[in-house]
This record gives sequence, structure tokens and C-alpha cells, in this order.
Amino acid sequence: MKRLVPYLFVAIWTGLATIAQAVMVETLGLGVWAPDVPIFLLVAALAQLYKSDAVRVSLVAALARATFTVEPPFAIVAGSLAVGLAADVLRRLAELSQVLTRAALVGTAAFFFGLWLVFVDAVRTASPVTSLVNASTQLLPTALTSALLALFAWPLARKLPGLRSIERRAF
Amino acid sequence: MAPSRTRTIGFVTAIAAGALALRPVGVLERVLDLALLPGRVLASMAAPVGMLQGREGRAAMAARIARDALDLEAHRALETRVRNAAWPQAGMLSPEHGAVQAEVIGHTDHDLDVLRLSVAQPERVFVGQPVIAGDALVGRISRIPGREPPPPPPRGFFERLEKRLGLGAAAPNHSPNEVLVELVTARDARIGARIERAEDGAPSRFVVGGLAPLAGTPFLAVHNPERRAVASGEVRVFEPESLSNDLSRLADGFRIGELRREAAPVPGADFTREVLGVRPYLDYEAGLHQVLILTSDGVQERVPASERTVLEDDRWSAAQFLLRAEPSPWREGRKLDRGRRHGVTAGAAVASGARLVGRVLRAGLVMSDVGLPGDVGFTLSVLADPLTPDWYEPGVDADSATQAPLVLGRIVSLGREADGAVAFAWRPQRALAQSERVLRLLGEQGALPVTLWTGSGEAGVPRGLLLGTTSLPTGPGPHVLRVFQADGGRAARALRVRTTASGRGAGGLSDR
Repeated sequence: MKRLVPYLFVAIWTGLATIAQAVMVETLGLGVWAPDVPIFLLVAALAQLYKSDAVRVSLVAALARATFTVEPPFAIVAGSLAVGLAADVLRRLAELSQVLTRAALVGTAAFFFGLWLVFVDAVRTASPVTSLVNASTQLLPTALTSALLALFAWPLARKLPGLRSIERRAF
Repeated sequence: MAPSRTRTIGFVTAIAAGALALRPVGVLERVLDLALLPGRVLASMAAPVGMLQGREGRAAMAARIARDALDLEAHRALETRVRNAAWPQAGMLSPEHGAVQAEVIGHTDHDLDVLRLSVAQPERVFVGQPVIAGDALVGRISRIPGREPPPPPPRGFFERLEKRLGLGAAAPNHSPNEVLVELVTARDARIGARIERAEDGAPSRFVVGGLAPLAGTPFLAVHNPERRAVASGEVRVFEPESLSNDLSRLADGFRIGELRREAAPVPGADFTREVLGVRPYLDYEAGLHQVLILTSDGVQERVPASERTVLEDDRWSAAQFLLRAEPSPWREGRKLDRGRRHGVTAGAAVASGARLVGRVLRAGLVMSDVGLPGDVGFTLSVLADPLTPDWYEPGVDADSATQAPLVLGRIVSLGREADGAVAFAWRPQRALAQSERVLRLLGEQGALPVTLWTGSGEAGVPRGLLLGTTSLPTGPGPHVLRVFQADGGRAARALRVRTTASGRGAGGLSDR
């Protein structure tokens, strides 16, 4: 019950991040140059939360993201959990808040998360493999801008209200 | 819980979710949908953004209402032409023939060879009656579900719970006007047929039914040919008196297709063998819209088009997109504020006026995912209404079958291009260049400018929703059609979604 409020805030922030990304992609016309804001937010949150929260926070973030996209919800859940678990494992080896580490991690996570969603769409619509290869090159700008976002907006993401009660358990 | 245990659960969940993303399981998708229910509250966060994106000025609203009125007129004209295209040319129906008009609803979920029809006068329909479209045979009535005993209600606790939560597979919901037709393509279908004048001038009889083992476009199998040397000619229905009943013989003289010998690859070998079969005139998968059921009661009344078109009936529910944008740049989709609770099902059309905006990809309990035409894989059965002024012959009234729109069959979206046009893959069953009228009007090199409308036969998408304009290439294909939509197709206002039941919420055109 104590964790319910922070999880609710994770959902709200992820929802807002997804809305921001959608507006950047379509309304502002940035397309593939729009950063993956929810993935950035997830990695930034996981860098400061207690280990046991990684899976649950990833799940909550996935459900919040699935509310605003037509991508299959199971694909979002699988991708989000994979990013969460990878970040959880990596933070044992390196300090995720370091400038280069966070940029590399967020950029890579955004790239593979996008590639996973494109792969699921390709399988579901029985598209040829060439479309997947094309998509992978198109995802590079998303990875780049997501990495830049991690470079400059990381301190902001760490100060988002509502997460303090699970932050205090940080290792 | 120990972190390692949590992580193990996380890994297992991720792998299971990944597998389910690639191979969806209906029941589990509905379970996850329950977990997404709180998301409907979260979705209200997008309302301010949606309001900013969705504002429509007075002038724009007036222009849209005027445009809707014009679209409705065009829709009515198309509807008249489509309805009349089901009737055969003069002389095909004798005075003893009766005919019942029927609308194609779609194929059954589990069998593409069974067609669902909605019949205007079900009391005149019986199993075994032939079904035709224009001059061509479609198949035979195989079942009338309204006359069959209803399935037993769920008895056990879990069965009732499953039904209440909507987790089980939905039981087929047949209306009293629905009948099922076994198509000529069905494996067990057998139709007596003949060529009246083969190459040697004599008739030749055989049996047609099922599909021949030939990849690509449909090719009907030929069984027990009277003379094996015959290899070409127009095939018409001819049921021998001694082997068939009176109902079967009602279709005698109706066309099936062209007899041909075609080369088919032999599995596991590097050579081909010749297969004798019939290239049908009809596209049985996506080219059927209005059909006639032949009866022996001599009644041939044309049922006039209803005063209210399908665009004005009460199966539309007013709806709106939660956000007019999609976070994935490679997708073109929207979240709709209507779901199964409001009668929305997967495949349902979302429209603005008479214009198609998109189709429901997944229907959640209170929200749905909508794919727009620019979403790769968006599939639709379409009719083409030529824009060439000379297309519709002057002096010929709309009752003539020559005034029918072109049936293109199914097209699949390849995505939106930089100039806003949507590219669709189209594989024509019969090249337009084979039509004498097309050649006369355009010449072999020309392209035919057309307006594309939705066809019938796809559940949830009524016939006659405007998709856009394009130019049809006249060659054999496959082709890529570049379809242009007004407003880019993504900025639609005053949305309505097609629902399964009537009276779901004031969405008819006349209600606004």
C-alpha cells in the first residue's frame, strides 16, 4: 500500500511522457527524430529505485504507455520489462547516472525497444524482412535524440515528484 | 520478496509477454485489457492536448457539413448502382424464376468458403437455392441459422463467469435474416457445368467445385470432364435433370468462368504439369456485395433502397480520439474512447460523415485502438467509381448492370508517403485492360481516375464509405495505388464508430 502512491506517480509521469512523445512525433512533425521519452524516464527512475521495484515499475510504466499507443500491449510489456531488467543488471556493473553511461544506455534501450515493436508489427502484418532492416536504420535518429535527452534532462527526471518513498530505499 | 526471485518472475513474464505479442491469444489479451482499465482514467490526462489539437473553427465546421451533404449524395448514387449490379442482364431470368435480394455481410470466421448474407425476405429462402451476382453463380444456400435450435445456455459457474467477463470466445450471433452460402470454391461444392460450344463446336459437360492446386489467383477445379481434349470456353451452369433437384437447376445458364489449362508446379520436382480448371469471373473473397437468391416462386420484385442509408442508421456511436497523435513514428493509429462495452468490435469502421477515417484494430472494454489508412497492413475491400465523364453511358439509367462500379477486391496499405498519399498494394483478379470499355475510353497506356469506396463483406465496415481518389493502372498487376485523402485523412472531425447493436448513442448523420 505504501508503494501504491509512487507507482501511481510512475504511471502518471510515463503517461505524460508518452503524450509528449506523440505530440513531438506527429503534431510537431519530428517523426523518427523525436526521443523515446517514456524509455528515458523508465531508465532514469530505475537508476534510483530499490532493486525489487525494477520489475513492478517497468510493468506500471508499460501499462501507462500502452494506454496511449496502438502498439500491442503485450509487446509494450515485454519490451518495457526487458529494458527494466537490463537496467537492473547493468547498474550492478556501472553507475547509471554517469554522463556517458546514461546516454549510451538510454540510446541503446530506445533503439532496441523500437526495433522490438517494429519486429512485432512486421510479424503481425507478415511484412518482408527488408522492412525490418529499413526500420532499424530509421530508428538511429530516435536512439540519438534519446541519448541526448538522457545527457541533458537526467537531473530533471530524478527530481520528479512522487517517487521519493521508493527512492529512499536506493542501494 | 527477494530481488532475485522478483527478477526471475520478471524474466519469465517478459518472455511470455513477448511470445503473446507475436502470437496473440484472445482470452489473455482480454485479461490484459482488464489490467489496462485504470488507463482509461489516465487517458483523461490527454484531454487538454486533445482539445488543443481538435479545435474546429466555425468556417471549417460549415465547410465540413456542406462536404458531408455532397458525400451523402454520392453515397446514395453508388448504393443504387451497386444494388442493381446484383441483377442479371435481361433474359437470364425466366418468368418462373423468383429472386430475393441479399446483402453480403462477410465470410464466417473459420471458413472463407462460407459467405454470410443478410436477406430482405427470409421466409422465401430455403437450403439448396442457388445464389448469383449479375450473370455469375456464387454458390448455394447451405444453412439458415435462424431456423436452427439455439445453443444451450452456459451451465457451470466458470462458464457463466467467463461469459459475464467476456473472456471466452464469443458465440456466433446470427440475426433472423442471416443465411449462409457455400461458395463454388468450397472443397465439397459440386456444380454441374458445360461449355455450349467447345473448340470443335460441340458441347462438353463436366463438374466444377473446390479450388484446383494452383498458387496465386483462384482457379476452380474441374471434375469428370466428358471430353479431356476440351481446354477452353465459357463455362455455364448445367445441372443434369436426372442427378439434381429443381432448386439446383434454377441456376442453369448462369456463368461460372473461363475454362483453361494452366501450368502448375509439382511439389518437390523442377517441372510443371497442366491443370484443367475454371478461372472464375467473380472475386469470391472480396468482390461480392449484393447478390440474388434464386427461387421458384416467380416473384422478382426489386427491393427499393431504404430511405435511410447505412450512413444514417442507428448503429453508429459518436466517438472521439483521446489524442490525435501516435507515439510510434512508424505507426498511424489512434486511441478511441469507445470499446466493447459500447458495442465496438475489432474491424469496425470509424468515419467522419461518409468518409472512412480508420478501422478498429483491437477493441478493449472501454477504449479501442484504431488503425488509420496510412498504417502499414491496413486492409480493406474496395469499390472504384470512375471519375471519367464518359464512363457511365449516357441514356442508360442506373438500373442497368453496365452502370456498376468496379470491384477491386482487397487492398493492403504500404504506408503513407512524403506527399501525404497512402500507398496500397493491389493485386487485380482481372486486368482492367481486358475490359473493352476501359480500352475504348483510355487506350492501353491510360490510367483510370477513380474514387475509392469501401465494399461490403468485411464485418463492421459498411459499404459506401469514401476512402479517397486514385488512378487505376490498366495492366495485369500487382500494382501500387497512390490514394489521396481530403485533409490528409488524419485531421477528421465529428467521428462515429460502427457498433454491433443499434441505439448505442446518437451517431447517425441525421443526428448531428
